[in-house]
Amino acid sequence: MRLLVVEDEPDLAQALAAGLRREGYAVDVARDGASALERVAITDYDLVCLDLGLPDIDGREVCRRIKTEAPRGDGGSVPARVLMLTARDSLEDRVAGLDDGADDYLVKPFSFAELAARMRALARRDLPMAGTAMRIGDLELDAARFSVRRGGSAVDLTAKEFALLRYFMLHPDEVLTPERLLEHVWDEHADPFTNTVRVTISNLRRKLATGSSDDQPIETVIGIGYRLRSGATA
Amino acid sequence: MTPTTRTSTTAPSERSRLLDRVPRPFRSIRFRLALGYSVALFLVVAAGLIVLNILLASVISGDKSIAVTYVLELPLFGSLEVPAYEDLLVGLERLVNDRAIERLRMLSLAILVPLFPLSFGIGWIIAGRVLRPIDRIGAVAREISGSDLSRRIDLEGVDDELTRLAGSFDAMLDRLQAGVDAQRAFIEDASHELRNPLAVVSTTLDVALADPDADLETLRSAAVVSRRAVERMSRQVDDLLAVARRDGLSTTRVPVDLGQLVAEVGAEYEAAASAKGVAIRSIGGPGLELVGDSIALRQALGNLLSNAIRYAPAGSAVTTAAGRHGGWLWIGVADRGRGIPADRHALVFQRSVRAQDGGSGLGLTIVRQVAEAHGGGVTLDSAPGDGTRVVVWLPASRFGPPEPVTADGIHPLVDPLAAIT
Repeated sequence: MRLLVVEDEPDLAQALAAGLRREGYAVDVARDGASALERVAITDYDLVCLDLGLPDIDGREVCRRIKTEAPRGDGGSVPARVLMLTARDSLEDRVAGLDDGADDYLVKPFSFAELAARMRALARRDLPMAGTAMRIGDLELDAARFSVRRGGSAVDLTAKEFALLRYFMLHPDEVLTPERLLEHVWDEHADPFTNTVRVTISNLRRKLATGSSDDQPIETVIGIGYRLRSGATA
Repeated sequence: MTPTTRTSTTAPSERSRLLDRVPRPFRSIRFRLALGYSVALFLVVAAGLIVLNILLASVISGDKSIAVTYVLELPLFGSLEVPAYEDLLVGLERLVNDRAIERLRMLSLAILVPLFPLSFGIGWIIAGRVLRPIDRIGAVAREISGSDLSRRIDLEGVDDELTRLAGSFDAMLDRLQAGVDAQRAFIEDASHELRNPLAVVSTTLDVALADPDADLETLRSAAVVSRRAVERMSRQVDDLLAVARRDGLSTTRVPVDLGQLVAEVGAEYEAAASAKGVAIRSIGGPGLELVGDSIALRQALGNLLSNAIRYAPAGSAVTTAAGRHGGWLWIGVADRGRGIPADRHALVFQRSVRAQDGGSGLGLTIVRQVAEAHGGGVTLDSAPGDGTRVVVWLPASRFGPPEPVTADGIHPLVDPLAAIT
């Protein structure tokens, strides 16, 4: 999941980015409204963590424009889900924030655990699932516990492999191009010309393998990309 | 009025003690006005009638011994016994007069007896009408509490003593409410400002503590970030306290030499400025004296200077100066920083703008508060790329509005710093 943190307070932006990266998101940081809108215009973010008190553009205006001017990339993407961070907690402020298109609202100071939980809730909003665990075939992924099981036995993944598998599981049976995976699972520091996607996918496949070669859940669609089969071993 | 407040009165006058024994409904001003009015009217009318009767009687007095009388049947006066030894007409006249005086007496009594309740009733109604606004003023005063000053009397009608009283009352409430609103907005802003460094601390610590493999370097940097946020919070708390104290009435008024103030405060910030590679230029002058709160003025100028130093690019100079313009004295600070766009000028003072680089966010609010406490104001002259000039205008004399007064009645529309820098 690609996530943009819009926060002018450098210390807070850094802490948020570090914490959210450890949650398995690919995190970019924007320090003001203008650069946030610039980034949103070129990158198809899944989530935006937006501070309302920005030095240049009002955070609510930024939110409106994220919702209306989001890029229409591959796969008919939807606008990023926006979590507003604000120091103001009056009823009118919260109502105005949600009316401007924010998907959720969190008042400073917040606990990072709550922020992470709300981010997970926003990420799975379209999925028919309860709780934090996703299940596709014999694959089970719990974003809150950071655990993956295949057929009941735990699989030990790195943060990037975990984020990649989660993105596959959010889009089962869809063919995902390496470009799209790079955009949503890696942050802006990833070099688009390396074979980092291919390498991470091959590592992930190796860890998910159970022994027999034909029950690999992630298959290659030659010339296009990769696909997670939902009926893999069901 | 409760009994306790009455007994606690140390020396009640003879009259009020007497009044206290009167049952409550009869103690009202309305009752007393109506009673006084009707008693006075009654006495005046009674006195008039008595005088009239006496005068008439004395005019028509004479010998009334009668020997022989005729009996006359007159259509209007009934049967009259007319004395025989006098001229018939004279006797007739006297008898008619006597009878007329008798009638007048009876009529006077007949008027006087119902006059009292009638005049009391009219007095009661008039007094009620006159006093109704007072009840309304009292009702509004009772409805107003410490937290809600929104009620107004809004008395309509002719411009008389009571509408003027109600008007003054409303104006007083307006002023009180403006003060309370400003203070409430400030406290709200300040509390919100405190949340930003709190969010930094809590997020930094949460993230550092949630990492099971955090090394010493990570933990140390989390501590450094938290320390920085705590410093900012303590500055904010200091500023809040300064504002709270200034709202009290204990502001001291002493002679302050603004030229000296500029030189001293400029020297205080020398170290902080040179650490950032910024030079401070202090331009004072003799004879720039006013009577004011020297600590508050010092803090206001200090806030302006620390802002300017924060935004000034390395290698530039920050100017602080004092001067006179007509009846106004001013102190100001100019920097060559990135400037403030025009659409944010009002915002800078209206609400505490978000602290960008460690400021408390309350600095300019305090500056404005200090200026207004001295009967002055603050002007801001800035444009992106042109630096920022902030001038605190202070009336040179505490008596009367200084000249020149501009349309907004606050301070001259000139930028004295633009000429210097």
